[in-house]
Amino acid sequence: MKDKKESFTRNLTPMQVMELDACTQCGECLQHCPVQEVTGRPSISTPEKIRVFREFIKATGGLKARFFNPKEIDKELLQDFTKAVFECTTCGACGQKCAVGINTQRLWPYLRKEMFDRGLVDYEILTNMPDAIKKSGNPYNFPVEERFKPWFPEQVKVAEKSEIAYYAGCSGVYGAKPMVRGDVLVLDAIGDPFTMLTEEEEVCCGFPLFISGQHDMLEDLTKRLVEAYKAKGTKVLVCSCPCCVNVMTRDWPAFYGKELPFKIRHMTQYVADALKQRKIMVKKELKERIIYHDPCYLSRGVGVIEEPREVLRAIPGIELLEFDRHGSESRCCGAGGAVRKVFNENAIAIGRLAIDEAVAKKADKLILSCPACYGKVNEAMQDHDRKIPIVDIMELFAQHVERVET
Amino acid sequence: MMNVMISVAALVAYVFFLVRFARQSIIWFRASRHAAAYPIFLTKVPASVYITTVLDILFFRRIFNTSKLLWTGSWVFHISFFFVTLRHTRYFFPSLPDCLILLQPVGLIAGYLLPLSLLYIIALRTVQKKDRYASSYNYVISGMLFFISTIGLTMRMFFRPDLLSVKQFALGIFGLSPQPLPDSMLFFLHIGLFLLLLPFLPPHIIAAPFVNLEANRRMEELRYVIHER
Repeated sequence: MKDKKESFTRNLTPMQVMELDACTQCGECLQHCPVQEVTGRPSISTPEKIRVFREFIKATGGLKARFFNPKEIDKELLQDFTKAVFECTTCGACGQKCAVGINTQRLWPYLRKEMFDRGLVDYEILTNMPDAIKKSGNPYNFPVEERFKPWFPEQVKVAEKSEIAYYAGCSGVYGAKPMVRGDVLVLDAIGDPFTMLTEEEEVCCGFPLFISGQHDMLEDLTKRLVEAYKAKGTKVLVCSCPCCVNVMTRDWPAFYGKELPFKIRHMTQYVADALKQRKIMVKKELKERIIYHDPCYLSRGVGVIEEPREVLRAIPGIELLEFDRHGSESRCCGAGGAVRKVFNENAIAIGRLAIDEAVAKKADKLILSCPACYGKVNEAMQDHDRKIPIVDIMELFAQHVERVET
Repeated sequence: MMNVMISVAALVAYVFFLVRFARQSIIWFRASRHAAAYPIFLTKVPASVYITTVLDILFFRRIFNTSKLLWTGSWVFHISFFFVTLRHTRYFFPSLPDCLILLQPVGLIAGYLLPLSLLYIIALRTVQKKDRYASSYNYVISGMLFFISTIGLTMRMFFRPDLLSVKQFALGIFGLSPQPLPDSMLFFLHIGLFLLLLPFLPPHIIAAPFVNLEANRRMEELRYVIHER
């Protein structure tokens, strides 16, 4: 643990410090916060967290603290703040609607890091994560040998080396098998040879560590993965998990120390391109009303909004519905923030908001494109009075696609 | 004696304000070299981002998109505060520049709108309080500004102090030669409350424009994070 009297700004960029100062405390963001929607507790809201963190900064780095002894901060206040910043799903909706435009999706992980560095985080699901990754390559500590075997389609051939590589991701392989299976079937249908790392080589992308504020292993994980894909001759790395795609695009270059030797593409981007290039065709019709949920780290995170819709519209007969809040303004499914198991009640309640809206709009299917959403929304439907079939976008697409033989 | 104390207090409050401004400027300067905690995908910021930001600052577009009710009060408040501040510059210039003379009538209208807009914002906050975030700091600042502006308006309409002595007093503060305090209890309250408020003006008045610019840059950049140019 670092010195308790060190400034609370040490983990923040100057712009982030400025963002904290820019909060007008207007509270309008509360209307867009999914945690507020299900808890109604302004004490854990964005403006309150920012107000309290400003107090921490003042106590340790303000003018008074510089000239006299920095003030000891009340432990209970620190613990309350820590809980509030971890109860957040980090979806970033508050920042999207912020009156001044604070980048909260990016701010929360760094405030969490500060709390971690001060030894204030004791959620075992998080504190066990680094060891689990060291031991099994994934944050859940599931067996390495079960990473691909239970879901990987036997008929699909993976190239030893290829310019196209596929990263399945831990949440998908252990928690959303139909999704990753769908990815691989669609990649196979597209027909370009693609490669994958072995079960031992494909380790965690680092996202859960980043989001929870544990950055120590990130450089090592990034370098291992990047070098492994480089050795495979990868030019395009395809992945369908929004969280993995986010950290790969936004943070891997920083942890790798230079520009990545390959491009990152979300699965729907890759498929949308394949459709445009007529590498695949969708022949099988689906006469259904479907509703697509935008994952926060895909839409607000990296701006992939149109491609999933292009892919879905390519299926003949589909009527594509939209949530009231969609695209860059989408509402979190409840699974975000890496501590959904700790704040499970919130996560389930938020997940049910998506289910309820999809049912109210009379959709036949709820389409997701994130393994965390997939797991949590399915869980939210158990014991819920409203039901709707939940399908991953590639799981659905794989059932309708056909390879174009050349 | 009271005139010396008020003059010194005014200078202290002003210095406090400048120190805070300087601190913000240093943060901004450092921020300009290290804008975000991740690689920058948009190295050359297009002119449209600056234009949008200027419009955002002038018309509060982001608040407009979030809450039309709040926007109405917020925009009227900020714009009238700006013109009232400009109107008050007449007390600090021995001879007023032409541009400021032209703005005096606008400042007068703004003087009427300022307390009304504050009353509207406070009322809106109070009505919407259920399940909403209520910032006690914002209530205190808004309340103080309401009293300061109402006292100002009362002086303008009913109990005018001797404007010449007000001007002499104001010039004396920055000329470091304290002049007699105008013989008006309302003026004393007006300036006293303002001096209390000055060091505690919310930091967003300085930080928000830069954060807004960064937000617009980020939104523009989002098109290129994972997409081909």
